[in-house]
Amino acid sequence: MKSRVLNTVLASSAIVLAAAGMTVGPVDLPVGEMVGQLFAGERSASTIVFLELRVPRGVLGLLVGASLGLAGAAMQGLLRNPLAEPGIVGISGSAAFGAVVVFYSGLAALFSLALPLGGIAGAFVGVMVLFILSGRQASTLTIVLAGIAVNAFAGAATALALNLSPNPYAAFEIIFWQLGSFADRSFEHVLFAGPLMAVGWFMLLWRPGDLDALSLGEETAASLGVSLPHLRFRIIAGASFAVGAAVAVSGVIGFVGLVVPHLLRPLVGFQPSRLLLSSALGGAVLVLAADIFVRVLPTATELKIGVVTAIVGAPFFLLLIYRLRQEEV
Amino acid sequence: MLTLLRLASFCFLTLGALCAMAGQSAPKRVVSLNLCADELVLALADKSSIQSVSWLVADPQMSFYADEAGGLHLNRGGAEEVLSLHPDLVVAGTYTTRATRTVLEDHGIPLLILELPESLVEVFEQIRTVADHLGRQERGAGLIAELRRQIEALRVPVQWRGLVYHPNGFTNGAGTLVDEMLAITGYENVASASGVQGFSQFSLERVVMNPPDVLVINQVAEDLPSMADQILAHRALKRSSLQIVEVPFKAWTCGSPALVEGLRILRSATGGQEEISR
Repeated sequence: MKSRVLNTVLASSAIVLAAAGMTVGPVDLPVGEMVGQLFAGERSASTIVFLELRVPRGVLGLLVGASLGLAGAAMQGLLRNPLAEPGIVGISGSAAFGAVVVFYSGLAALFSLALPLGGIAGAFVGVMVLFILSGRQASTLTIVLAGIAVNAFAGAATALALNLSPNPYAAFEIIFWQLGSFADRSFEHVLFAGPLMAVGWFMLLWRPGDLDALSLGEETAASLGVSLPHLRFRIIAGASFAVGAAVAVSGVIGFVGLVVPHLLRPLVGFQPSRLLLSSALGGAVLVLAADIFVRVLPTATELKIGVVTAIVGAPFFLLLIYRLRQEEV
Repeated sequence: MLTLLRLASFCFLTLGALCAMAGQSAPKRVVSLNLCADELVLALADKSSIQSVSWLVADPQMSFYADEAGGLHLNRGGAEEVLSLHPDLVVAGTYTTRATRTVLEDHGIPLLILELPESLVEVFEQIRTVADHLGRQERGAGLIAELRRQIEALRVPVQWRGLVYHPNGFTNGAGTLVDEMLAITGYENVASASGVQGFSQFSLERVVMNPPDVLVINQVAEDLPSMADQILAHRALKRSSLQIVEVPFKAWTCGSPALVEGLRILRSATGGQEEISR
């Protein structure tokens, strides 16, 4: 399929889902009346609900989904391994730890940029550990095992930090950090995390051809003029910015970076460069759809969005392991 | 011997008040395991008969009874610790773990479990029960009369729409003690009016769509951030013109005489005697 056609379809689906999500919520908004008030610039309870609650939620779903899809595709291109997903390899988990330390210490209350920066720092440490543990020619097994170790450590450190917080609610909030949610976020979150995610996208999308060259092997890529240390640093830093800032405002939403590139890979002719933008758009589609799903489910307390992505994503993960095992035999 | 003790504990569990009235001597080594139980014990018992209260009640942030608890042994509610105090009456809340209760029952220690009161009538009943168990019936009756007098003095007709808002968007609906406290001090509870029963979630969207005049929140310590508290700082709430009243945790959490202070704070916000806002 032509990239342009695919990307147009994905982008329009994302926009439709974002708009559809803004009509879903605990109260029914009088849409017709509200649109009139919006155009007239009038303020009413419905316009406040729409502008201060629904719109930031939709925008964040779009940005976070795109970050996770893009980071997954780029990591998989760099490591040449389809299991390299930010959640599985522990980048999201370490980002959550970084954000938790900044948030519950009160630093984030002093200046709001501290929260995404904490997430980014945590993510960066997580990726570095992954690289040191798995080395350059990492096998699937090494990457998954390194991911288990990083995830376990980051999860334990997060739980410890939350339990040390003097706020009685903190200890119960581990579920937000582990399973993610967009409930009751505001435009402040969009403003301080959005630009940092965009910095990450810029680094990940810069010179996408390098990843195609790398897919032919490191020597070939080097002979084609690709500077491997530069490429590695760019992807690591880019993934840290995109995932770190995303996790800092939404918690860990797993498996998006696994499912989306996996589904789209055949549609872009297995070309890592073409997969990047499509995965970003596909990530937004998946996260926005999941966020609508948690809102229409008739549960007493809203389901965390990571529950949905894990129920969809974990079987994919198992399927991928099964296929890889068959290839290795 | 053990059977006798079991019999005694059965007596306390089921027919507590009757047994107490049947002329049993008043307990001399009372141990209380829960903040609200502590407050009632401290309000009713002769201090020399109290062996230990929970550590929470000694914190002036958590309770008005911190001074009264001064000098007493403070426990953390574990069965081992309680047994070593050799109590002749243990007062605990319904949330005391099943495991702890079983251990105490197996050792034949008389146990009085206090439910969370859901109305003033239940508060008065509970004061009476605790007073009976402590052999302080007169003190109990006096306290109830005094509370009734103070509460009636604070009662005003409904004039404002109020909503209690806790972290994570929880609220007190119909059938809660706080709902009754709101009614006494002149608020129509928006949550009960919209059909919320008990302690339940009330989405931010519903608050914005149906805004109360007064939003009643628990007084928060600014230096202890949590995601749960963030909901109270959401821009959507700031856009609506609400008066915010902060009630300290210790003034409305327990069905003890401390709730009069909670009523005073709620009342002074509507009565206009002194402006309490954020």
